[in-house]
Amino acid sequence: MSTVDAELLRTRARTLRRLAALVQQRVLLDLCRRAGDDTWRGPLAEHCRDDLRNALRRLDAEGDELLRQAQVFERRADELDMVASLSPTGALR
Amino acid sequence: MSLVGYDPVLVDALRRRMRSAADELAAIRSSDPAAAGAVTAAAAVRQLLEWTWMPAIGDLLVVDPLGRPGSGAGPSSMWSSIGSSMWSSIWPATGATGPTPTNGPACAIPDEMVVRRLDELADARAVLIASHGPHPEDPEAAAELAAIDARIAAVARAYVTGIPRTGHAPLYPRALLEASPYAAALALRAVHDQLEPRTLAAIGLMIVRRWHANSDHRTGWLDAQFFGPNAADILFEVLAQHPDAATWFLRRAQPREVLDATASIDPVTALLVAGTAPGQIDETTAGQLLVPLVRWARDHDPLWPEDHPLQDTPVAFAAALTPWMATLGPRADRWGWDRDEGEDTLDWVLDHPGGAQAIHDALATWKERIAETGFVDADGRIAGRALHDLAETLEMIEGAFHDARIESIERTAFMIDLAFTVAGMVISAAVPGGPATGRAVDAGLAFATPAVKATLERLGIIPSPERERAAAQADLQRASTTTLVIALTATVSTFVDRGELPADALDALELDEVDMDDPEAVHARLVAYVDTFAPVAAPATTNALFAVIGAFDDDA
Repeated sequence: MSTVDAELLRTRARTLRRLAALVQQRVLLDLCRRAGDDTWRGPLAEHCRDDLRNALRRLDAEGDELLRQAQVFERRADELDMVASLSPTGALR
Repeated sequence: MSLVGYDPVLVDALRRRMRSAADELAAIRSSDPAAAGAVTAAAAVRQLLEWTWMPAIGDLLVVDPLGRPGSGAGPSSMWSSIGSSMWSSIWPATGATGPTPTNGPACAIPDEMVVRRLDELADARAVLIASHGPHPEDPEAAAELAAIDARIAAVARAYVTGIPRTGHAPLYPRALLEASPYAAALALRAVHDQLEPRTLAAIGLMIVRRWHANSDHRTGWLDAQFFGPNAADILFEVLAQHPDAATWFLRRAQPREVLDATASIDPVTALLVAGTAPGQIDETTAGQLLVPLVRWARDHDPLWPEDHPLQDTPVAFAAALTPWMATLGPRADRWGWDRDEGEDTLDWVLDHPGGAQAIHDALATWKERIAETGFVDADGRIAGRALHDLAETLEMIEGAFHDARIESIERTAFMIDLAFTVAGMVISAAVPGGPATGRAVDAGLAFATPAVKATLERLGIIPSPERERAAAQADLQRASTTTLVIALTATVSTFVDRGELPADALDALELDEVDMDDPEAVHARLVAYVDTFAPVAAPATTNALFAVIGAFDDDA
């Protein structure tokens, strides 16, 4: 049986994982592909592609950070559960 | 060379996909603090799509420059040459490589598209600077600023390169006259190298005039409302890179258009220096350009609030006037004003806290100028008038520094520097081929050999560790007398080195009990000193030494 705090952390972790999936969705990758040489060329197109690639990298990094944070929350939840199971009173249930 | 082109169907699909992507990004919300970074990033990307790229692509599709009638690059010709892709050789660009150009004629981007795009980008830049300043510390803001600048440059270059050329008519980017002054100045910064100086100056003048026309009390244009480089700052920095354009601009601009537009005095300084440099124009022209500006600045000087950039106008003029220093004094008539007005102007410059330093910083230019002055007449004799002008200029500067209560130590160092420069001129005239001839004088102390320095220290002309600083300063009160002693000492040293005077010739020079504030007494002592060489030196040698003394004789 899990503690209240541990459950809260797991809820936050699930939220972050869902958010990470949204952030890292393939929409920008699709945009990068659609903005390629077949569509347009020239300085404006180059700038657009640069912007989209930078945006893609930034969102990927933010998604990774969300997943890392979710893992941290889950690990802390597990630790709280373990501490609670060792406690004679089983406090904070 | 690469190509610019687009397939309207695919570009439209890209725009629609951007719309749906922006909507998806808008759904990324969370109140969890751990998600703050991701939410912010998603919002920024959505903003990038909605504010920058969707409007830009929308413009492209609405204007459709490749498909518009009369472009010579209509869809049919392009599609027929390379199948389903809509390409044309409209202008060269950097970066992407493209398919083989078609044979169609060059196609200009419509002015209205350029104007609208430049204005959008310039407005975005102004808004960003208003929030983050001209040099954002926030990395994201800095990156956005750089991206905007890159886009402005790309649009401007693409536009200018695509302008149809007829015959030998100079390139004239008409669209820049329709864009906001800020947008036009930013665009000009990217394409100035492609324009002829007169075109650059003419467009620059019209940009500044438009800026003024809508800028009463500095509230008209967007760039007039934030603290940072505005259209005039950017424009003047561009003009300063092209001295011919800077001169042309200064010939035609009204003083207010030059002096009351920028947010900082530095671009004004750069413009004045570039447009009025001695290598650029002659003395008379310099006066025609600078005198009206000086008069306007001095007339308006008391009117500006403390934080107004015009408060620093004297610094700008210090840099521009120093190369023409003699026209503030002995050569004032060449500029159509009198000596009083010239010397008052020098006092005005020195009244500013940065004036003395600015003059000192510009001294190298003045040295270059006098180094190019001829000090030997056609008959081989020293040009007394030219040297007199130099000596008088030196004395005028010293007097102005004294009146302005410039720190005595600074003044001493400054005047020594000046005195050596002028003395170098004298030596180059008196001893042709000597160590101080020609541009070697630029080095300032090039002729100050150890023997010369030791003698000057012994005589108290230049400060030495053994002497009280105050005494040395007192000795420098009479600048022309000091310069004469330096010049004569170095000239004697040169003749000693050549074997034309005895090795101990300098030892015989004594100024004890001579009042250095009394030029006649100093001259008399020096004449007596040179007379002692008459029995042992060639007449040409002693005549050269007398010529040096004569050049500094007030009664000559």
